[in-house]
Amino acid sequence: MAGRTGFHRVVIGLDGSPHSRRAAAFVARLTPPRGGLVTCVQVVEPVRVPSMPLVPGRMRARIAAQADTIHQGQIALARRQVEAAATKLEPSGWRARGVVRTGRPLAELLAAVRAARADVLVLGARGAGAMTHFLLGSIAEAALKHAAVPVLIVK
Amino acid sequence: MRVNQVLFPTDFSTASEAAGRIARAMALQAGACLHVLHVVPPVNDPSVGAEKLTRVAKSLGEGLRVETALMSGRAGRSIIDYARDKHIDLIVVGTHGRTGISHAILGSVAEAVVRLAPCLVLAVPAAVLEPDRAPAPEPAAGAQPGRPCLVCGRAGDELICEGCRTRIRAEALEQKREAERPGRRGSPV
Repeated sequence: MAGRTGFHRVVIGLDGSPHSRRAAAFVARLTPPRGGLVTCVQVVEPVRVPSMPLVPGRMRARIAAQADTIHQGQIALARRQVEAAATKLEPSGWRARGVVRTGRPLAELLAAVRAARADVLVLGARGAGAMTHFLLGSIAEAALKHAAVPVLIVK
Repeated sequence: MRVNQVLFPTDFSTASEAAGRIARAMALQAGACLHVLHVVPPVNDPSVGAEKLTRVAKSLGEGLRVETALMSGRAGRSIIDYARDKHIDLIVVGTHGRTGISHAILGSVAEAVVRLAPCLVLAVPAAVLEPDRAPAPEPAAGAQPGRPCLVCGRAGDELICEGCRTRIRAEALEQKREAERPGRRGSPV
């Protein structure tokens, strides 16, 4: 279905949620155009420790090290998830790759769309965040407002 | 998840033009039926919409099964109701891609559709128009003639064109009517 629509380069935003997996599964069912490329993107937010300046000096280094360990773990998990999604896309004929970015989710997702020169951004309707909005995740909602490319919301 | 029914709701604005082309392309590729829907605000004359709707359906429908529908009511809710009734698999909706206050007013239909739709939604920003068909950049201050309407982007000499002004007023009136319960007057605070 993507062939004549000009959707040759697709970016899928993943976050480990069931909706984002469904978004990837939907793309896997599409017939890819010649040379169709899917980039599976997952953004990992840096672990922020509040009130760090108030923590005694000798504790600060230990807490920072623990935060870094957690962050590295999140990156490793995200990498496994994007690789798994990319692997599932290849049998249907798409060229697929996984990308993990670090930073603010929306900004990084839009940066990934620009970097991949994508024609369409595919997102699950609801995200993995604790503060999920009613029926639509905050990232999906913000992406609709700010993305310069069509956004496909998968429910 | 096969796409058999594609719905393209249009308000005939520039923003929905890009969505129309993508809806057509997707319906062609999937061999799906393309539904073209226009929702007229309750106080407006629907006959104007019918004519434009036929024209849009004709321009998009070559080589496709096309159904047109004209509904009267609040756009967001009517689109969702239509999608449920006709078992629509994909809604392709144009967005104005604005932010802030103007977005709160203008993007509300697309937002309601994305939030409440029972199916896939493809939101197409107006900026996706091909370069030769994209609206001309805003002229420098002082050059009033040909200034595009802030809402639909069509050329005109007013900040907001007559059609958009009427639509915004009608939507505001409709919302006010719904907000005020019978027998209660004044602010619904």
